[in-house]
Amino acid sequence: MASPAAPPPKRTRWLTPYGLFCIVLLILYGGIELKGWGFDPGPRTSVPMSVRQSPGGYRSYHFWHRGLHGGK
Amino acid sequence: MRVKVARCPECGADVQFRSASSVLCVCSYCRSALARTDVDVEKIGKVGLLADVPSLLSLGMRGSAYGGFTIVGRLQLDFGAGTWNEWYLALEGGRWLWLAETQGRYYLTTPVGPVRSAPPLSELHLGHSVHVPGPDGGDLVMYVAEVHQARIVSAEGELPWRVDPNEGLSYADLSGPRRTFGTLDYGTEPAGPPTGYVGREVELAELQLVGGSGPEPERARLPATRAARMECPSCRGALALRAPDSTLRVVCPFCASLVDVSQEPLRALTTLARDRTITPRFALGSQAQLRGTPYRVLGLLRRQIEGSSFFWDEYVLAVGQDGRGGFHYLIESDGHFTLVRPAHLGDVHGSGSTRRYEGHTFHRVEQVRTTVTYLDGEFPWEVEVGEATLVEDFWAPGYLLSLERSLGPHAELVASLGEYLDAHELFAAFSLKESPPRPTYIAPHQPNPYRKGYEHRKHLFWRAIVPLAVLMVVFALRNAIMSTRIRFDLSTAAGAEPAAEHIFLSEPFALGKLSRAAVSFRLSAPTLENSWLDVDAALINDEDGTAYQFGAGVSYYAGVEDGEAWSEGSRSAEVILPSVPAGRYVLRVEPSWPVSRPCSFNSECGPLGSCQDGQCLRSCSASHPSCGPGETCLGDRCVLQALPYTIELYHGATRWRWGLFFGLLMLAAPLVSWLRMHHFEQRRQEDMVG
Repeated sequence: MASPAAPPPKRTRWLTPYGLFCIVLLILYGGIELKGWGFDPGPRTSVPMSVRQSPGGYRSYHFWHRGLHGGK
Repeated sequence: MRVKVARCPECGADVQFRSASSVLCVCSYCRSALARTDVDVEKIGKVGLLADVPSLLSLGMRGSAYGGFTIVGRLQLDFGAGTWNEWYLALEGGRWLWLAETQGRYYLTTPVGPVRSAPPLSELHLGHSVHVPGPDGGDLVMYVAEVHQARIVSAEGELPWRVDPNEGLSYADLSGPRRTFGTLDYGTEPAGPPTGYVGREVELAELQLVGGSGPEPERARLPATRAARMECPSCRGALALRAPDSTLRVVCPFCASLVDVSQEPLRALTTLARDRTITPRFALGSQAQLRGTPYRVLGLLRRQIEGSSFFWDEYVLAVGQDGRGGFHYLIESDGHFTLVRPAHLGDVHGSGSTRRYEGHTFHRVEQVRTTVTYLDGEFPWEVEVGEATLVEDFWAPGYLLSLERSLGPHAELVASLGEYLDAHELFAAFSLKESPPRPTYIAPHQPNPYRKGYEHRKHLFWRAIVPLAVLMVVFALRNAIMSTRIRFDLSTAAGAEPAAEHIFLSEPFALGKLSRAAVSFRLSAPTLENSWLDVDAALINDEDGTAYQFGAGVSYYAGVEDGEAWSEGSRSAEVILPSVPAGRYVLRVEPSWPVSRPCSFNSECGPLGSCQDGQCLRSCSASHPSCGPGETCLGDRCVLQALPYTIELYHGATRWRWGLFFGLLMLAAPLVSWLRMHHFEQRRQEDMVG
């Protein structure tokens, strides 16, 4: 009986959409762990030096509330 | 080789016995059959003229295989559906071999003596297994492929036993393992025991032939061929045969007569009904190369399942130009195309619904009785309209194994192996411009078009998921060693509305082991019960003022309703701050909580309480507290007790969820492929049953 068609060479197996997709996911995961990549849960602001050096410091600085006054 | 010369008692010509094992010789002048006796020769009859059966072999040819042999005799037999040659090969030392020649194929056998385990001829049936002594002394299990009675048509040269010209012989052809071939020769004694001959199919080149007939060896002669052009005996139209040495039946293209061209004079057997609706898709005479083999279309026949309107077309393909390489078949059935070649019956093992052949396992599809309903072109067997066959099919991916039992007077059992062809590849091979027809069902042996993609994706999945798992483990270990962990134990204030004085500001702390990593902020309140706690927080870089702002909240509610306990919410929450660099940080936490127990209805606040603005108002006194679990009497009002809670920071948190999510994403593609492949197989099973 005819043998089945030979598989493609190993070096080209990864060069398919699915193979490239897996490679991208592996790279993404590596970046997430190594560099801490992710989505910010809130805004990043910069606290002015004047506030940091004021007597009340950060305590009196009014940050933007995210509105989590929930409960039931 | 010592030659004994005798004188023919009929005509006086010299006759030679070249082999010591020869018992009979045919006088080449008067065709007398002369048997060797102790003293001289005895005439036992006359032998008819040789039939015109083309052959590459001839008397006197020598071969160097098997230690050297000479072709010293020929027997021609006819079983009613064709005449074939059997050649007697004399080896040194009195040994001899038989070489049967039929339709361009050669079977070399050696006598193994009486086969006492063989049943009488009347008890033999197609497929019957027989134990036959092997040529090397072992035991072979062989299967009956044909049971026939043949007549000796003619002979020439020498033969190893006495034969009565024109006598009938009974025999059974056998097929054994590893392409062995055998014959049980019952001769004129159908009760047995038969004489056995065992051997195998050979290529002519294996015999290493030289020379030709005559007193001196000649160069090998070109084969005698029948005329490629003949006249139809019915209408005198020209019959141009494409395989003149093999064709036995041809349909006249002018008058549709089915003509027997196996012998002169040609005979018109019947006039076939013309069916103008049938046009060969692959024109008769057209050529193509399939799987590296050149083919030529010789004929077309249509088989129909008895009692059904289902039919298929079979194209007879000559291997090479003229069929000397044998014959294969191209089956077309409702848009499916299969290339069929003969298989060796003796190498088909198994019983019931399973067969094994050439390392593959085949499963039974069906057994049907078919009839030939249409003929066109040339055929290498004595085909006729109405020819009936019992066909049993077995399938394996891409292949169809068929066991065909002819139901006519010349019953035989043959095996064939079909390979599913891609229709586009086939049409391209025949240079057909039109698109192939679309099948309306899935053929049993049709390859699953999704299998290759599934195998590829499955293979890649495992090659990707393992590194992903390794990465997760490696990073988990790294973070376990190098992450910075900070913990703060805080508490709410009972009976107090959240205010500025409740804002928590930590002392500066360092996040330094990892240059940049995500920070996990985890809020937990293990004793939270039917209440909630929210925080607005900021992680502030004390060096450059960058503030990472976020919020987190926990809520947990539980109760019993209709005797069944329920709960909802969670006592812990986690927020991830991405890509936080090492440095000195301060954590600012602004909590908020309910003073009294949260509620929606008055009934939730007890018999003495009421629900106002989402909180229970229940009066109490020091002497009569009457507050619920988790509450305390403060002033004259039941309020929630102070709630302890914990905040933990991890700089270098392992991102398990991303790893699991990516693993699921990787799984999606092979899972979809598997579903498609599985669905195709389900449809195949449904179509087989239907």
